Amino acid sequence: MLKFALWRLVELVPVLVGVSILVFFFIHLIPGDPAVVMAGDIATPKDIAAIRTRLGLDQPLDVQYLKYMAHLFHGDLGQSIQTNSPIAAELGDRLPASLELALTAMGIAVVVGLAAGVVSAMRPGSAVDTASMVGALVGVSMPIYVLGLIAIWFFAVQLKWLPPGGRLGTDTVLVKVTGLFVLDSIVAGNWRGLGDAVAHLAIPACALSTVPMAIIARITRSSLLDVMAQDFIRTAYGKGLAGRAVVVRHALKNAMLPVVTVLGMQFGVILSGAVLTETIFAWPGIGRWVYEAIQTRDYPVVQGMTLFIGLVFIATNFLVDILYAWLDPRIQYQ
Amino acid sequence: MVTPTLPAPTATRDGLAPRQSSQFADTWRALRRDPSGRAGMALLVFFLLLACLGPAASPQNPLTQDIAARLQPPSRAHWLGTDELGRDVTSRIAHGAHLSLGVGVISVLLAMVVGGMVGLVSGTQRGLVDRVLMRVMDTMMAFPTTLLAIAVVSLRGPGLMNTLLAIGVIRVPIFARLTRSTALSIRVIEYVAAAHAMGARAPRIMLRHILPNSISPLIVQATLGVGSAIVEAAGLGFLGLGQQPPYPEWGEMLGSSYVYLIRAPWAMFAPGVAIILAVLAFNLFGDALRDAIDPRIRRHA
Repeated sequence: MLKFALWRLVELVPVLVGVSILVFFFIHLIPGDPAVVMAGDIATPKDIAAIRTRLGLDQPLDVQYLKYMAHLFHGDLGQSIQTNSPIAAELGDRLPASLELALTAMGIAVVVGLAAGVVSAMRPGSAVDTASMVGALVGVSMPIYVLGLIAIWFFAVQLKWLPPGGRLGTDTVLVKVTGLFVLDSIVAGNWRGLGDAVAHLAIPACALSTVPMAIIARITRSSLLDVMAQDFIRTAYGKGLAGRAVVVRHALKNAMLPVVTVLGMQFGVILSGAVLTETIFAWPGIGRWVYEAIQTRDYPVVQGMTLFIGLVFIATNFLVDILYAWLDPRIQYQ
Repeated sequence: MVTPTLPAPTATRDGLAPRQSSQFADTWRALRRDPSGRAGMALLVFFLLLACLGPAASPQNPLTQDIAARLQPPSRAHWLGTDELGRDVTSRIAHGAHLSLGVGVISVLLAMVVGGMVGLVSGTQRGLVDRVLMRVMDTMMAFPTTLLAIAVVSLRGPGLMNTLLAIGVIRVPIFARLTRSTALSIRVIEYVAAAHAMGARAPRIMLRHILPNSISPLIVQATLGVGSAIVEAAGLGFLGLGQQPPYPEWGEMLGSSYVYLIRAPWAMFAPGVAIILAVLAFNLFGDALRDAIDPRIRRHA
């Protein structure tokens, strides 16, 4: 197992180098001069030259890349052009917001998606099955920016049940410990704060969970149906086990393999979709930051966050591979 | 004793094997039997007509502003109401159809052609070429697609052309890997070896023997991919990175009208519902097409 994990880690090296080169050369691969784009419409050649010097764009490419990598290994993602503050520090401030939203959405997606998939697979062709699979198909077809806006309109504007955006009401005070507000308020015993944090989390997390939920439900169903048709399941029934025991103890673990893969990928998708989600819900995480950076042409922020989210995506997929090998030891020997 | 008579010419087929039906006819039959295939095709035809005839059939000029009549609710004059500049939402939806759907379809076609070529070369040549190409594809796949598209477009500058390129390029690895894996399984079949023995060169083997046999998974993947391409293109439009105003594109319409959520929700609902239905159309059709082409999956889906 350890050997397998190390081997997968070694295999990651070329991908990581590739990713760093890709993100670094974003500036250079792309036709047009980023300094001109960043300077805006009314810039003089002198302004453009100044931006070029500040970004180090006037140095040879290999020097630029090595400098960039050296900074990176020291945890230095560069500086924001707008605020002149280090990007890594602001990332630390904003990451908990994005994580809280992504984890909550993922949690909802897993619980509901798995349940729907299992129930559907138990009674294929039944009304429950048809309903949840039609729901899943509609679910994958709903872009977050449409569903989110409809949800805000319905729950916040029409019914006035929930706040339309943000993480906390203006009159709520919370002591920051982890930056995950739900956790912080529980630790502090601040129940009013907890209620406020959950209320703000409700619409964005539910809206964000629909696509992964739909995909998890579909994969669970087809994977479980596959497993249920195999011989060892018939054997389990044959030795007199009850239906529930067969499904829970024998079928489900074996059916989880494809589901785990999808889980890992969906987590990355949620994080990368954060730009849209957080823009709609005025959620102060890294996605909204990227959106603001695009508006203000704060190029290093876009570059740094692309790299960061890319790395999280790679790390997640690595963990999924390891989990996969643990669930199915045969994989290690292939 | 009755002398046997010659069978009538029309009856001759009865004695023979039944006419071989083409894969196309089989697929078409399976599609028509599948309710989600029928629904998908009906929606696709509707959107195809909207994209082709929309600009000609739309009741008003989609760019004409009428500030006095801004944010009007749906009425007989404006079926879907008016937007923040008093423009007719119905006409803008109709005019935006070919942009929103076109970007989705063309970017996926682009990815399919480029990715298909990469996969063919990679899968038939093997060796160093294969290893280098696949490492490049792995690196591209290491990025979440939406983010990569946003990064590329925010750097190249906003616009529909850059949106199309970004969304096409990020999809290349999917098609490259798919074509490579089918190419790998087909190149070991005897008839490819036979073609080799007859002196056929690599390009001929690729195009005449391997490509035709890997085309159906490519088509299925492409159909299923158009839905998510439309979502991403409209998402970029929503962020202000796609089609620039005043020309209507559904994502851009959504992005500029959602701030009027409280006063005029219809200006936001119209493009939103249009996007959902268009994506649903491609997903329904793609699902049904996959089931029709691959009967093994049909049992489960």
